[in-house]
Amino acid sequence: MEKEDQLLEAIRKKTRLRFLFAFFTVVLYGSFVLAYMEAGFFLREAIGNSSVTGALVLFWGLILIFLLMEYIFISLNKEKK
Amino acid sequence: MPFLSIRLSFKALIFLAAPQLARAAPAVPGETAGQALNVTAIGLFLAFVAATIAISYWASKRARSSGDFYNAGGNITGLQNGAAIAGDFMSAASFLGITGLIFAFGFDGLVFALGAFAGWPMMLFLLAKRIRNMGSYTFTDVVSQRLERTRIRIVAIIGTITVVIMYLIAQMVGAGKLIELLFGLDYEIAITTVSLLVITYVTFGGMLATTWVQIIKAILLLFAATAIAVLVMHRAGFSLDALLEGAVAAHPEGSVILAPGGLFKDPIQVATIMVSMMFGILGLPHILMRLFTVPSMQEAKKSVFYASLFIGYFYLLIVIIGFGTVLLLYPTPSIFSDGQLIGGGNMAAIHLSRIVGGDFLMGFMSAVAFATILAVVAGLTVSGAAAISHDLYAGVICKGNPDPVKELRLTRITSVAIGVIAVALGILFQNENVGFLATMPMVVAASVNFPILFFALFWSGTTTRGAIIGAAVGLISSIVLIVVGPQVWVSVLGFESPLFPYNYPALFTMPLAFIAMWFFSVTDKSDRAKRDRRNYHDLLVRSEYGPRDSRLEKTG
Repeated sequence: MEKEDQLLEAIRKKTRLRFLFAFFTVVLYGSFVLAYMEAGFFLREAIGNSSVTGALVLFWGLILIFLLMEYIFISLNKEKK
Repeated sequence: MPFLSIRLSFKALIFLAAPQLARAAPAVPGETAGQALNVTAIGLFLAFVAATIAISYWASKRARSSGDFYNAGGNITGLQNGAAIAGDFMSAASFLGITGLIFAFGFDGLVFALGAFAGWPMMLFLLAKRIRNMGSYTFTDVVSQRLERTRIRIVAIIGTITVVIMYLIAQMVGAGKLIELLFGLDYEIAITTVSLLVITYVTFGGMLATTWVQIIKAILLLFAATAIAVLVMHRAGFSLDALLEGAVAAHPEGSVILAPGGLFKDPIQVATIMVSMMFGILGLPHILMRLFTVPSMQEAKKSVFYASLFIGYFYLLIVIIGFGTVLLLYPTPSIFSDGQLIGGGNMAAIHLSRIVGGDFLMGFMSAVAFATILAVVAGLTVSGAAAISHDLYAGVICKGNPDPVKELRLTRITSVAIGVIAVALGILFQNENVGFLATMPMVVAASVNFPILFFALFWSGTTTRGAIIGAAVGLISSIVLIVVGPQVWVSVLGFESPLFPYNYPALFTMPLAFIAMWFFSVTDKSDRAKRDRRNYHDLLVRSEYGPRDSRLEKTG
């Protein structure tokens, strides 16, 4: 019984982690819509003296952040033998 | 100045560029002109066909059971499966459609690229492991573990077949038009060729052959995209700033192309596309099926991670290639005819490949586009065949105890039938505007398949009644809102203005499905509902630790 409780607690912990990562993914993904809103005017501007806009950096940044999040998620969830 | 007419022709690309909405970018009749017979393209394509048929022959020696057919015996490694998923997912439209959108509108084409990528982290975080642990061959197996087997299987089969058929029509029409353009082949010959090759791969080699076709295609596509990106950067002096500055100088709209707003003005419109893309990926049956081809849940997770790496890399390159088309195509009058890009907007990437790499690279790209179509149609055919032979025949009609020989025979017959149906539908719809068909798979997958899967895996209160009604609400609302949206109501039916302003209604239909699923589950007081809820506990243990710890109550 105790073992089962531990098992369920471990599953709950993993599920919370899943939802945490999914939540941040959705929030970060949603931030892309900001580029189309008044509040996101700065994303439409070029950065410094370059031609690169904030929105382009956001696009590249989101892809790289998502990949990094996946790597962290897999590392945190490595199954113990 | 060709820009105005290009702008009009690119209305179609909005639908084509959604990578899962229409994997092969259909050209709009009257806007395209076929290419001269491209000997390099045909030579390279024949080499691809020869290699893949040899693989099918090799795979046919190993496909002895329906299990081998559905999941390649579960012996694909995480890296191989990741490449195959990327091959199944990265489409001709990803390359041709999104590049074309960037060529016409600049930054806004990237909305589709981000949408197509963002589903993958969600797949890893929420679904990959649990689905792998809960199912055998299809996502229908997963949901039928805890809910009433027969009814939920029928609902999941409807979801699968709807997605597969819609996809297939958009795919075949797109394939016919694209191959007509790239190779100068007749439309009917083009789609018949696609169908015959796919039938050969799938019928003889099953999932193993399909997997290798997809792996080879992914490698070819990534190689071609890398080559074009490097050559574009070479033209820009390996300076991103020079590339973007040159693009701004070449494009009629100037610096507007580097910022959002060239195509989409309404943030809700952007949100509808992004929600449809992200959650649609999580409900695509042919993609979910690939999670069962690996031997363990660890490999399933690795598969998704590797797929993300390949797909993410591809979309990073798309930025360079897209703005490369702006930089190099607008100043080249010879590729415009009557103010339009020769071959239509979908050909921007192909023209770019010729400009930076000559006829050889153009031929290579054309062959890759054809290979892409074959890989995607093969994946859809396996998924459709599994829905009929495994989910319907074995799961529903035979109540889980089919004759294995009959099941395998039915699987092969179904594959051939799907190939024949695909040709028939391709011919039937060849002159239709298939944009609406292309929008449906992602919206239906997000509004029907994903809610069932998510609640079955994560909410103890889900009942069979709730899941069925929620799925029905998701399906019906998706179809209704797509029909009254701009693409069908205005473009197909000819009304002046749409009753619903968005083409991708998953932002609204997915929550509707979830709410209906929740409401009809919490109000379900039946004995079956009690069993469904009790099943959740064992499902939970099994979904995290695999079948060995499961004491799942048998459902039926």
